[in-house]
Amino acid sequence: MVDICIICEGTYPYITGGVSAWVHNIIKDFPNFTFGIVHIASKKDEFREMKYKLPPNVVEFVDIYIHETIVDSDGKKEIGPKSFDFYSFHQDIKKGVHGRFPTILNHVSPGGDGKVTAEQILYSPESFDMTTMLYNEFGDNTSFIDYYWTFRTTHMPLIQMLNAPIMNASIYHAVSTGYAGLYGVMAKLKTNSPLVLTEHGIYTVERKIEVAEAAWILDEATENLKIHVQIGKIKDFWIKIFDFLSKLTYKYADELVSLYSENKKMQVSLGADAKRILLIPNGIDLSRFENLKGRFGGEDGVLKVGFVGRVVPIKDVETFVRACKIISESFKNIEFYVVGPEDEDLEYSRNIRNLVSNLGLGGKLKFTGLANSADYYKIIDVLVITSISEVQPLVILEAMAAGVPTVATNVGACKEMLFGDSPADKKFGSCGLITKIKSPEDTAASVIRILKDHSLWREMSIAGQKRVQKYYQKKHLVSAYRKIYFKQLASKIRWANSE
Amino acid sequence: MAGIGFTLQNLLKNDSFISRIKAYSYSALISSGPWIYSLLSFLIISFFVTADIEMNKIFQVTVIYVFAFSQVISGIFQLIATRVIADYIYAGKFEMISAVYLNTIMVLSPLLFIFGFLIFGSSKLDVAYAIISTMLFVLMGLIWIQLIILTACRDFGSISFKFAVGFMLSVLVSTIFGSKFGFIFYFLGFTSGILYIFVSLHNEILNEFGSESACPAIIKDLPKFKKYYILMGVGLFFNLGIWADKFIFWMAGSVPGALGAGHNICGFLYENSIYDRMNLVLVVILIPVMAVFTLTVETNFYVKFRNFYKSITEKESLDSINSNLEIMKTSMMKGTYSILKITVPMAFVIIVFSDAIMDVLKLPAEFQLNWSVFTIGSLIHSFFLLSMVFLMYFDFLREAFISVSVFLVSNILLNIFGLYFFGLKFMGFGYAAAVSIAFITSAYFLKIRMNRLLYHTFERERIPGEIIVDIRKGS
Repeated sequence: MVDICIICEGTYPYITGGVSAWVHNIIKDFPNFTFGIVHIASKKDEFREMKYKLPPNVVEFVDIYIHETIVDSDGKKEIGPKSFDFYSFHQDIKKGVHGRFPTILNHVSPGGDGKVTAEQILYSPESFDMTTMLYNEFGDNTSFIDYYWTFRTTHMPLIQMLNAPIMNASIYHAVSTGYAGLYGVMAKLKTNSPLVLTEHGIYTVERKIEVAEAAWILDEATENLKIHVQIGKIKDFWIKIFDFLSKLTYKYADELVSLYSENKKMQVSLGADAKRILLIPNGIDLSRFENLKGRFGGEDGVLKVGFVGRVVPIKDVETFVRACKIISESFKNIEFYVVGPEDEDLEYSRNIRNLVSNLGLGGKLKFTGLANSADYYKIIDVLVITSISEVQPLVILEAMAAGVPTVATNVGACKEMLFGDSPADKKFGSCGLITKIKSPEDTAASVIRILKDHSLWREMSIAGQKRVQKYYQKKHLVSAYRKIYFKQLASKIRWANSE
Repeated sequence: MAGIGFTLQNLLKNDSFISRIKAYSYSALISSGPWIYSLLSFLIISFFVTADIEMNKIFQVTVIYVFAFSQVISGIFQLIATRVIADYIYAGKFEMISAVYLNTIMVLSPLLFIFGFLIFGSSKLDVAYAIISTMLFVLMGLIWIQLIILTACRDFGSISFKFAVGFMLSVLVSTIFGSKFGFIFYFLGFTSGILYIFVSLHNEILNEFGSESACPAIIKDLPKFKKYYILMGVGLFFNLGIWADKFIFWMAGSVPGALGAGHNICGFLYENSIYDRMNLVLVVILIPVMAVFTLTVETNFYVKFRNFYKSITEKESLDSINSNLEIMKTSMMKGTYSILKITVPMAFVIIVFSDAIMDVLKLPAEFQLNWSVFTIGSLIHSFFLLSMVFLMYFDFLREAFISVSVFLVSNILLNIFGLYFFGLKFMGFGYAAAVSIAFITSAYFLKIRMNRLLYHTFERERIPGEIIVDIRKGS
């Protein structure tokens, strides 16, 4: 039994990034609670290693793989007449209704009434018949094998999750909807412990982009129009599953947390109850960064522009490098830094280094590798973010605290962070500039504008420091979650006593 | 934010189904080709070996033992070799065929040698006899495997030619030298023909599939053959089942000298001249079954079988798949019917003219009823074989294994109990009953599995990379 069970999907502790850092900090910030971690991944990967050292108060850890199959015991596969209504479950997902979910969960999961095993659901004659029935109804005479595989690959992870053993905890805290949210809902239904959801990005939106971009490796048969129609349907159904999971999580979560207002709006549009959504932004420990920069320009008279982040495609380092080329033409004494590890996507890193030398930036642009970012906030004059996707980057908060203006693409919470959200927040003024994504010209122009206007630089530096002090302190975040945790524990105890 | 990466990309390129459509030819199960040739040459040679009746007996028994036990032992590897080769052919790794062949005979030869030496060494006859018979035994066992390998190239003409030359050699050398230099030279002559067949088939395989392929290459693939272990069981039990009743009647010598009793020749060598001659019926019935099977089932059915699986993998609609399924089922029925059309009249003739036939075979008239029962048993045997072949084609290996196990066990138990309660009059009844039970079993499995063939086809497919973990067990 742990106090808090954190449910992650494809993040902590295996992947570095915003969500993982957030989870790691929460665990460290509540040293008096014991934590359990449920990590949901697609498939087993023997080469995967933890990127974080688990704090000592993490006492349980479980991996769940949703794309590995559950079976092949010699168990009886026939479901029998009192069958689990797989058909209704499928229809519920399609329609996005979840009223029957508790009953379905009870049928399937271990410790429920155990009427049906996952093996039966996936491989029974009854579910095969259901597949053919649905095919006859909606399949439009397209390729049966594709229909069948789609059906199985889309339902399997769900069934897999419904079968997952539940970690015992006083509070479940999912850090996304999707399968993590599903686990949280299942845990809540089974244990009556409360569920907290902190959604960093918007799961459904992210999955939609992924589904849209999913490379469809097709053979020559794709010239067939029917197959195109079919792919559209497959994609639709994937998205419906994610919609369903999000709605389900929004409905059952006792606390719904969003990091910034744009996301809150998005959650509401996806079916979350606006009144129940709390805004708790990221926060940093000011003491490490406070006024590190101090004044414009370095003692050596060389201007410095920094990119802080992993060298990976989603950060679009290429745009930064191309912007550097443009900027370097306007200033004689200027240096550029890429502060962050290069080992995550080696091919991409190699390409970036090639680009740097091809553009003749070799002498001016330095790669520091994994480094203490605070050392660089002391010297850089502008922080640049070129990401094509972000939630609420900690580096912007750090730069704000250090007094370094930021040029960031218009993704995630960047705009709110640089310009302010509430009217009171906006009064502080802006602490940076927003640019279009994948536009080296736009990024370069914004950097040049700040570097050439000392009074603008100063205003931004001050605005950032004031804003971060008021809204983005780690102690605010910790106290907000302390409140949530204690409130939920209290209600759990009340509930337990009333039993 | 990182979520779970998609496996969507893999969805539409999945071709694991195609693995079903393999160049299987389970005709090996009933490829009695060498059996027939051997029998003919055996009859011819034994016709010439008339001088010494005792020696003549030893020759006959030796040849029967060579065929029976080499079939049982090499049967362990026959089906698995067929399957592994089909897999390599499917994977386009033709060069591995030689490797499979060489690896199989490397494992099989010592096994055959040990068994052969135990059986023929026990005779306490001439050392030369023991050595030659053991050699014959090893060669025969290896030829069974060679035939499996050669079905991959399906050049039956060339194989038949080599067999013909080999047995001509057997007949000529043994009759010429045997009559001049005596008993051992009959064996030597007979063995020389078999040796010729072995060597020429060996060369044919290496020529056809290349000899450079590294022999140990297959060893690293061995773990994946594990899933085929059941095929070893099917092959072993099937051949044991075929010989179980014969062995029991060889040993059935409780009343020495009684009509139809088995008797010990020497060492482990037994015979039952009446029972052995009755068995000729099975051979006679199986010859046309073989021919029809090769002509209609292996050709017509195989095409429909492929079309059915192709319609799945080539992304056809459910309607189209179902209509291909129906066409395939019709072809199965037609194949069965065409075998029925030949075997039933044959059995009828054999029974009606049993007097004359039994007279030619010098079988006592008292065994007329047994002869008829034997004939009906052989008739059912051919359908048992057919249903087994279908089960194997559709990969219902567990069902095939259960069926052959039923065959083996009932053939042992029924004959032992039958002999005990009814004596030698029981001849043929045990076998006919056992093969009927086995046929009912396999036909039942075939029927229920065929009713839901599409379901079974999909149900046992796993998404590539699916690993078998039962979460329930862990929780």
